[in-house]
Amino acid sequence: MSDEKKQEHTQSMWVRNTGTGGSRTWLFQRLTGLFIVLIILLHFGINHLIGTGEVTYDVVANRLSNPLWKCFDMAFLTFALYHGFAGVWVVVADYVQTNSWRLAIYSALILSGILLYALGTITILGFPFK
Amino acid sequence: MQKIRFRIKRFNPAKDRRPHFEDFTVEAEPETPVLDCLHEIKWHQDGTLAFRRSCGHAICGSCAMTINGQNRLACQTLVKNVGKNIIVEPLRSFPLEKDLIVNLDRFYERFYSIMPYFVNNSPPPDTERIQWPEDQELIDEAASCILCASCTSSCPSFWADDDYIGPSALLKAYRFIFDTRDQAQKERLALINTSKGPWKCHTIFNCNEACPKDIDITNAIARLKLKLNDL
Amino acid sequence: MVSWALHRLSGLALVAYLCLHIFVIHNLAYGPERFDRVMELLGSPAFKLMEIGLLGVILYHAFNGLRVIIIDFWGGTKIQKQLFWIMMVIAAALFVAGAAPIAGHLLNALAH
Ligand code: SF4
Ligand code: FES
Repeated sequence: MSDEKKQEHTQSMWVRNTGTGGSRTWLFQRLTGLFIVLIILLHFGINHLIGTGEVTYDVVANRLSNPLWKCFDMAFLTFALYHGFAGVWVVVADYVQTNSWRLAIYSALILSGILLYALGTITILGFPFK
Repeated sequence: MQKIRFRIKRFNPAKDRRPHFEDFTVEAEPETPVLDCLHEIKWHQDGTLAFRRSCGHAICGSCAMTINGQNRLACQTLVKNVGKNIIVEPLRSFPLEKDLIVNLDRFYERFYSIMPYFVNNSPPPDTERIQWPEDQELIDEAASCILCASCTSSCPSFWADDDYIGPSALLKAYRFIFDTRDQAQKERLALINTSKGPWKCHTIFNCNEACPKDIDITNAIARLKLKLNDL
Repeated sequence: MVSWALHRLSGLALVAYLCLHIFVIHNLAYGPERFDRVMELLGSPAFKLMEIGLLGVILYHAFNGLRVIIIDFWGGTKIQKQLFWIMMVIAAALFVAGAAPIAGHLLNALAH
């Protein structure tokens, strides 16, 4: 390890203590993963095997008029976004060892995660739009 | 006897700016250990070749090095296991000292960080502390680790971040945490439960493949993860 | 090690896809015309082909992930390589089952 890197390590407890998360992060990654596998099998089966695979406004509108489908889609959005961003988070923890970069990337991740979740929620719960 | 071609990574900190390869040819039987070939080179061809070894019988852990891309013990690896063209390099990811010798300070630092000793403060019984065979079985494999550092040096998580406590130290933690006679389970679990602990293990299996003692290290780390989740 | 590297790469690719997906579907908010126009574009043969690729990436990530979960919770470290190939066979079967209808639609569309 270069001296620079070593210094960064001794200076920064922050970089040492963020990143890979703890026992619960590890557990949630597995639980959400399991859920997503189930959800995605259903999603794919319904869209492409039972349905024609054609996604038109009417098809979606029909589906989103059902509150159960809204719940299903919200669960999908929540688990997938969490699982994906937690995964990127861990990858960053492995490869980005400098304070400033870690801070920048993590801020960007949190921000974009919140924005994407908001956007997805608006799409699902806000439907139909006037 | 057959001719074995060796490509050995050399580095002399007094002269070289970066490591380079040098070629040697050694006459050896298929059953000759790679370590003996290195001796042959050192004793009869180039006395400056530096490597560690002690027991010659796969029990001290000194002679771990990368042979044809895989971390192995030079004394345990026979010529017939690796072929006629043998590439020998020092263990990856540790600071290079000279030729095949790396600095293992970091490795031992991690090893000491998990309290690698038996803790039991209850008064000793008249005879030994009884251990049932099933309980011993849990830690039998883990207790046979010879601290050669092959596993830690083979781990991509360690390559990326050598603050990671690493498979070897985690295995040692497992060995004491799952020892039914030991009483410092909580302390040790707290010591490894950091962002540089078992959560950096991504179930890659390089450690299992590298271990010269065939220890199921990945499994030990997985058990630690469950234990830390109270599962 | 390869299984893990592919798992990471496929994971990163899927996150990128998920972000795009959320944006694309948000076109619902701008009314039927715009949404159907976007969907028509995404129904083009090139995108259908990419959808088949997406299915493959998802199935790899899903089934290698299941293998990791099995190993984490129940063990199987000693047979991890066999487990990997078992998972890949299941994933491949699902891939064929899933890619066939998409490819069917694709061929249909091309014929017209
Ligand atoms: S677990 Fe195996 S590879 Fe790792 S230090 Fe111990 S003996 Fe060497
Ligand atoms: S010399 Fe002791 S393990 Fe090889």
